[in-house]
Amino acid sequence: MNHTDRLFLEWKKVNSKFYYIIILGLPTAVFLITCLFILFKKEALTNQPIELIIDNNIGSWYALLYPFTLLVIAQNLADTEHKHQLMLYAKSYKKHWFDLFAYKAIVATAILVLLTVLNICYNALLFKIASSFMEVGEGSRLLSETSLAFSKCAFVFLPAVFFHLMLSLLIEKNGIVYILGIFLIIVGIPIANLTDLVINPYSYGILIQKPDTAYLSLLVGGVFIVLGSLFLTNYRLKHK
Amino acid sequence: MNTSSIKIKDLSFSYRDKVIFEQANFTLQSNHIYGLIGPNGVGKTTLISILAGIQKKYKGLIENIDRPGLLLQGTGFYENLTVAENLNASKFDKKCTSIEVDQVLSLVKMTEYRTVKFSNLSQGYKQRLGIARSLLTDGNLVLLDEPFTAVDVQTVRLLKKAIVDYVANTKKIVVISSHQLKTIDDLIDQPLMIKSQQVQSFDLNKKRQKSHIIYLWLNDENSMQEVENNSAYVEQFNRVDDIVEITLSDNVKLKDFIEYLDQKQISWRRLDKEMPLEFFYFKE
Repeated sequence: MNHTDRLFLEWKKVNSKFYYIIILGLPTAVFLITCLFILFKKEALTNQPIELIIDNNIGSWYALLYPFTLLVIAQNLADTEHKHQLMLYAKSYKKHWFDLFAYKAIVATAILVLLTVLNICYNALLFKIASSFMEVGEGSRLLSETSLAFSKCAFVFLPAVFFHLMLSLLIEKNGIVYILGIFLIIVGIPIANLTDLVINPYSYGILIQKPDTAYLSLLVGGVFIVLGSLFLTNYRLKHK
Repeated sequence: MNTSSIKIKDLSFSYRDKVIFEQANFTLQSNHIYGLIGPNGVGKTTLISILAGIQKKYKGLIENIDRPGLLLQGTGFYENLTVAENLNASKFDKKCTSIEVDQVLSLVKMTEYRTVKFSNLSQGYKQRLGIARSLLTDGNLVLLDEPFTAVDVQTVRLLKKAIVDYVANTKKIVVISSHQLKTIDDLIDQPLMIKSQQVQSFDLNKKRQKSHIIYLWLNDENSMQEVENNSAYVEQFNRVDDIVEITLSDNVKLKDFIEYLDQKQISWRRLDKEMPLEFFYFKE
């Protein structure tokens, strides 16, 4: 069985409704809410710089929506194993857990990438709608910058994907994992705004938005979290 | 294919303060079907978990077990995957091939269900798939915890045949746990009993005596005394809890004895000619 088949199985383990809700539903809902906001505040926004809308849209995704989404994605991927004690079966024949972890991380990343593609499209649509009555300035530059900013998401939240997958696989009670994840997201916002600490992967979205981003420390911190999550999960599941 | 025997030496395991196994020693021979019997809570599932590698906090030495096939109680599959995909999900780790997946599906008569989604299967077919998954292993051991629970008689028959055929073809070891000896005694080669923190094997036929012995479940103490004191009908009387083993006198037929019970209005609820597991277990 090759890797493509195994990835496909990993993808299929999760109910397809979940993918519709997360990949299609969430960006669409956010886009529609923003459109409604523009519609109701059109008078106040007329002739204002378009960055007001676009930056706000990106900011909400980086600070909250992406971390929350990856929380839900990782948890759902792990829940397929916890349900019906399937982890026990795996314990009886698995020599290590790296592969299972890696496949789930790849699927989670793929979902984030698809979500990002849709976000870029919606952002362009939002730009088109808002540009009819707002101050655009260098429109093409802004559009390419925001598209790039969205593209960074799938990459910058990779450590958080790994970290939350680790929590979801090691802790069977998903309520606890959700609370822990939400707590880290909320706590991470002021820490990331006030410091350059790279210990909380959920706030990497905020850190990379800062003007003086320390890319190297983000990279080192990210690699450390990815590898740490991978090895710790393998160790704990082997010895649990 | 690994078909050598499995040795368990000095196995000790405690759960909280309760000792489940204390220096237990036993050997499982290849090409054998073992029946692991004992009342609920005695440690059957614990032993299965230890042998399966799930429960690791034990002391002792378990030799020659690698990636055993496994069926646990109350466990399921990936609901969104099909029958074949569910087996494929573990095929790689178990070092099995697509041909072997087809073989185990054929054994449990599920070849035509390959593409059916697991959530659309009936309970009986889900259990068949559970057995198929357990038989899909390159290891020398298959562990089945209460495999015939909540399945109809035909399915039980089919699954028993599948297990017998599997062992005949592969020479592997199958351990089946059950709290009802009756369910598995036509299938197993050797019973294993968990008692006094030990795993003991025994010859079932020697323990069972056929002629003139009946097992009766009596409802009250008065009935017990009445039966025990009736020397005309009862030659020998042994009691374990509310079950009595009665050796009928030579000239007494079972029909006569039942008539006697009715006449004396002795309150009883079950009668068996084969030694029930509860009696057997506690008498030992």
